[in-house]
Amino acid sequence: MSAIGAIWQTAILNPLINVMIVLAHYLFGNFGLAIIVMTFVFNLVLYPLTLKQLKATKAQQEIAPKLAELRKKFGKDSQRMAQEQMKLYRESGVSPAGCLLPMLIQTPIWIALYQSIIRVMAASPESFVNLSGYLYSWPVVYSALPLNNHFLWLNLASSDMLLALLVGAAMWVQQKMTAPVVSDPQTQAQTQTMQLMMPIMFIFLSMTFPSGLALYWVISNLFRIAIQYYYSGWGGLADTYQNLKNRLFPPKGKPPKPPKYIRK
Amino acid sequence: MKRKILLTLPLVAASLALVVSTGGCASTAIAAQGWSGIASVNGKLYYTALSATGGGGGFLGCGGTPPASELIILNSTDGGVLSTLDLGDSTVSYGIPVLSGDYAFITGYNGKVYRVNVVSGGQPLGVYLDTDNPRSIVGGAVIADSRLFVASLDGYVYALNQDTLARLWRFQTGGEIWSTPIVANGTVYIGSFDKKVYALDAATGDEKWSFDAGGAVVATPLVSGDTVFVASLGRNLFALDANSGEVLWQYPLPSSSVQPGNWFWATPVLDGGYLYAPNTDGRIYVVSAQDGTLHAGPVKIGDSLVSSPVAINGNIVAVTVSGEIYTVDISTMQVSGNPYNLRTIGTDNSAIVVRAPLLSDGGFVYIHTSNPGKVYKFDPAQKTVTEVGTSPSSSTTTPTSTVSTVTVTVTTTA
Repeated sequence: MSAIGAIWQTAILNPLINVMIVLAHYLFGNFGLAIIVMTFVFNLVLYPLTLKQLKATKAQQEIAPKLAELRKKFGKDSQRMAQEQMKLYRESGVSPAGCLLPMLIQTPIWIALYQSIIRVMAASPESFVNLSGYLYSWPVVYSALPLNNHFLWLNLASSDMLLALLVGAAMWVQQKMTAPVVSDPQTQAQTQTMQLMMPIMFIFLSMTFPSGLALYWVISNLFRIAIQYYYSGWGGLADTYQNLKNRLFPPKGKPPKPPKYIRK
Repeated sequence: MKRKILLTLPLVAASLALVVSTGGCASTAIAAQGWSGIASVNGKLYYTALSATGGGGGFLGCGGTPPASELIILNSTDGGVLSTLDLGDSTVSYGIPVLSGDYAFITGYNGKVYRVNVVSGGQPLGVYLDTDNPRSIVGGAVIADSRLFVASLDGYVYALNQDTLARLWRFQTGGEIWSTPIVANGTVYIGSFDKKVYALDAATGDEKWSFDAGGAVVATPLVSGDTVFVASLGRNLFALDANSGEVLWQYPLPSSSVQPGNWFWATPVLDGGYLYAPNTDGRIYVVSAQDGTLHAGPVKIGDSLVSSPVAINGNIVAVTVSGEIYTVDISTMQVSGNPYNLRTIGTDNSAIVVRAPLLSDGGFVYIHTSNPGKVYKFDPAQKTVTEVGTSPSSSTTTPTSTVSTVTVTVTTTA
């Protein structure tokens, strides 16, 4: 094992695995409940970063019209465009990396949780026997194992189609709520593609990974939806709902209400 | 539209890259490989493995044709392959093949029990323990009084007719069963993930007694006279009265200064009045079979011990999960010099794993490895290792099998 691998295992993976086993033991031997509690703990720890990300997103949404103007003015002169864009960011106090940093910090947590779930749930005899290498000598760990793989209708060690769809739906809702308001058709197309592709990608991943990890994604997304709603309401989701309503039940005598980005 | 497709492509590529980097199809990333032990009968060695040839295809490790399961028979004299019998399915096995008459009985991770004629070959018989809700079998089988006893992850212990594999009775425990049963004096002894050890009437399946071991029991109980020795994942060893299930002794006592560091996964070895119990903390705990007191050690071996060791010529031979072969002199409890490391042999052994129980036969120790699956013959006297099963035997006995498997519906009588 490489030095980085050894550090990762000692500092991150082993504590996480043992804490989750102990947590499951005190939560009626239910690993699903342990995953949910851990997800809440992770999201609470990451709350300051999430808030920072939301603020950065909102700030970027606010300067979006000005950016569109700049594109119109200097679109053909890329060097000037970059200069003006940076100037606008500086003046508005917006960091272009403000949205990325929290996501980057979350990535190792995803990986650690994924590895913990895989090891604790042990979908094969080989995985289960390997689990012994991660256990602390706490007596409770030994009396807790083996854990119950079942939670609601799920076998947490294998993938689940319904939960995968829930992951996609929760992610789509959360993305719609945070979607920036754009008037540029090219950016708009790009945003719409992203909003569709990310949930599809996660549905695909959830169908590939153990449902324990998908459970983490669903709970995590619901948590972020709640924060997002508290911070800035339904956002772009309200427009989507309005559009859908207009299409399904067109108001008599009135043309359908256009989306917000066209109204602006 | 064209722009949308162009924007979509990098995302799809990124998602595929993520899937590939994390092991591809999850079900195969943590796939069962099996750790079949080796059986020795009349100068022949029997073990199961997935075919080295065939299989493959699929996309990103998902799907494709799985390799066939085979029962491999070696000549223990020259180490050559006598025959390779196709089970007709693709599954792995975690049990030691059981031989009775002309037949070998094999348990499959797919939930089937196989009966293969090792003399004439022919069509193997494959039967699901539970056709309605087949669950994997991780333990092996045992034969007594023309009955085959086997247990499954569905928590049941099954008794089958040896000739037809029809179910005679089954008994439900409170958890998955990974253990191989043992039969002695008309009683079936087996451990379960419900942390109990059960003693069942071999004729009827009625429970005689059960004992709470405080931790899941994976190791096959060891029966000697009127005593049943049990090793548990709760880090304890127990000696129980075979007739009543009463505890004769427990190791360690809660007040003991030496506490095992991890699981007692593998079945201990009983030799010369002492129990040699391997632990996944890399130590062998040597306790008196009489009273459970620690005789020596614990003897530090190496890394995790998952395979059952063997007693041979005054030595205990143990192999760690990473393929290091250790010899412990029973008289001095000294571990011999440098271990022989299977990972240093050849170019494809760097990730070799040993989990299957060792076999002592004719003064040699046989080791069935995983990743890659090979069989090694260790000479404890000369400290040499030879790979066997790489070429045909000079013997001419070569039964053959047809590929298709007969699956029969089991008649439930209990």
